[in-house]
Amino acid sequence: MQALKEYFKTRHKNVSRTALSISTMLLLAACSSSSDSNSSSSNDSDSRIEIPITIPFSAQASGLSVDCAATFTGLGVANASGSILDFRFYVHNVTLISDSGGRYEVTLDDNNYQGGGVGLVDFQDMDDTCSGAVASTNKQITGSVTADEDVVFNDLEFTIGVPANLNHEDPSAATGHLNILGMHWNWQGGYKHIRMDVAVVGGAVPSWNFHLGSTGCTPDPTDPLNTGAAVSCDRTNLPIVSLANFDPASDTVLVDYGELVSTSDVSANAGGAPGCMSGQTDPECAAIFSKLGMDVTLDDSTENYQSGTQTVFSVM
Amino acid sequence: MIDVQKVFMSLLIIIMLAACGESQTTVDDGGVNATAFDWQIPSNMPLPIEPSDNPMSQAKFELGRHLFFDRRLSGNGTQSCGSCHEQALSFTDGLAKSVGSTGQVLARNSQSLLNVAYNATLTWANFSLVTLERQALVPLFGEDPVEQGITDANRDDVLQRIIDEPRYLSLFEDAFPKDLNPIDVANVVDSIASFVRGLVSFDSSFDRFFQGDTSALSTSARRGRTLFNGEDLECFHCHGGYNFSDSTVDRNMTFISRPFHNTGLFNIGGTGAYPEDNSGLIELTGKPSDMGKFRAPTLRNIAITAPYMHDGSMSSLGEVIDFYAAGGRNIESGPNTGDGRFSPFKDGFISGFDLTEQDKTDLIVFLNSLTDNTFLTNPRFGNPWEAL
Repeated sequence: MQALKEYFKTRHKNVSRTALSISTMLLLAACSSSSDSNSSSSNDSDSRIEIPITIPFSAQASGLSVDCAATFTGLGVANASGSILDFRFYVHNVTLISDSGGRYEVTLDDNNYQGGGVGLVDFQDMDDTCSGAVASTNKQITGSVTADEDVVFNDLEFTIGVPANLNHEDPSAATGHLNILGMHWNWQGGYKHIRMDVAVVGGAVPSWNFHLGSTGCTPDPTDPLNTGAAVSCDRTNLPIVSLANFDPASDTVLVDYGELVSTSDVSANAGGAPGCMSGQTDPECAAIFSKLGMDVTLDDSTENYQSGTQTVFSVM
Repeated sequence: MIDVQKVFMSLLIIIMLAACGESQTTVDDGGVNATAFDWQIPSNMPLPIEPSDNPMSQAKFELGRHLFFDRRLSGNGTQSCGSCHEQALSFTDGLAKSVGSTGQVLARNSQSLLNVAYNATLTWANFSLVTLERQALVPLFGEDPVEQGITDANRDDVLQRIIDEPRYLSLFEDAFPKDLNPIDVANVVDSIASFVRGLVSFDSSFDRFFQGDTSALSTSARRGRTLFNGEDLECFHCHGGYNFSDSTVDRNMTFISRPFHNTGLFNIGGTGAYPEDNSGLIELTGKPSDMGKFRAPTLRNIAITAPYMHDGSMSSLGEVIDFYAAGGRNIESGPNTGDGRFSPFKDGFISGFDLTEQDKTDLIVFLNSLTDNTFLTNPRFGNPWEAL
């Protein structure tokens, strides 16, 4: 079965009709053996199958792959050098778009890095801000879509971060990828959607941090029990990434940290938190947010809050 | 607004007085009195809200007390919640600014935990934090500033220390009888929140006065109280109600207000700015008008909890009264130079007042009448490890 999954992972293009037919037969056989014999499926669903999906991620800066050992050069306007202390982000609403415009939301697998429709992409390969033991990483999002067997996917879309309906749950009672203390953002009552901390050689601060999270979050003012439920945020800060010409069989999502900080001075602290911690008044946030297609000065009620084009994520 | 406040205070006093000497009537009150916990508060006081997913129990309170005072509950094993919240100081630490377990000096002054169960919001200026369960995560796991310093790297070690302490297993089993393996982080958090929620105090001279002991307040204290509630000093606007804070919530309330105020402590460069590391609600909202806004803390046990203000920058009640009398603070030199009296963001009720020395003495005597000495020594709230 594992071999079959591996096979499907790369099957969408350049596979023979014979192989497809065999695999379809295998799938149908598996279905009939695990359900009753009274098949009532319609003609429409006969050709729809569950297609395993794997979306690989790669992160780079100055031409080097992101891991704890790499020292990047030419970062930002000050041409700074640095190495990561932390490099992780959440994604949800992972959707493939077919050549005919059909949208197929990927049902994410449940594993240590995924669950509840949210996945954590993690390039930090050593614990404790890259100073501890070797740590596991997660450079892919896996799941499945139910689609016609000969569907051709052209585009990929996903949203960065933890969605609002999970962002305000009790993190101490969460499991797996949603119970990582370093990704909790307790003082704002949510998660860090993105955490990318970099130690800059000769920098003004020990680390130049980018923490993206939802801000201005208030509990329902009409909640008489003061439970903290039904939280709403002025700025959810959940940027949508749309990547055209993405083939899950052969392509990888590239995260370019060099591009993220290309108009920032990571060697200095211009004010507020060192780096950008999503503060609307933090002078370093405007440049970083614009790289993600967002305007830090606008809140969710403003239509053009996310009207820019993100340039950090691309197809590789 | 003023009249509403007056009416509210009058009603409150009437309710307080009316409750005196009456027998209790049990009615179906929709949960207003439903609790499994012996709150040990006067019958005329409303009960605090208990979260439906973490209702109070004596067992959780008792477990939480052990965890609250346990230094092993920090990354390097040097600091407990109680390190910055000492019972004898009404659960403050006496420092202008607290120091975390790794030596980091915090931007803010340790607040009293007295009656925080009634706070509409928690910490000095954060409208996102309304439950003690969520607030407890900040000192336990916060990275900036580091307080107890529990991280992903040391979390398992910290939990192992708790598992290894023989007193804990039965405490956890009693508190969480349905859990097969009750010693986990979520239960640690819920227990500490339960203990802190139970830190209630209504046994000051002021309380006894309203419970019918007319000798409990001296003439000077009564005069100070009149000044406190008067329209010259305006203290009660922000420090009103039974908990002496306008950010108060309990089970009897239908409408909850979560206000924050700028009192004119800073006006750096005439822009209204506060020091960058400690600028109040604006850190959450990004709204310029939220500069320097902080939640009005309770004044109960205020004589015990010096130094004062969110940054611990005033050492005595006399200094605080002088500051409010001036209508703000004028800083004439240094990096924070600026006249807070003219801050564009200052609350309208901080307009200054004239006070005689006798007035000031009376006001301080009144503030001292808010001290609950029982709370400072009650073994129910005490450190269970001290005897070891």
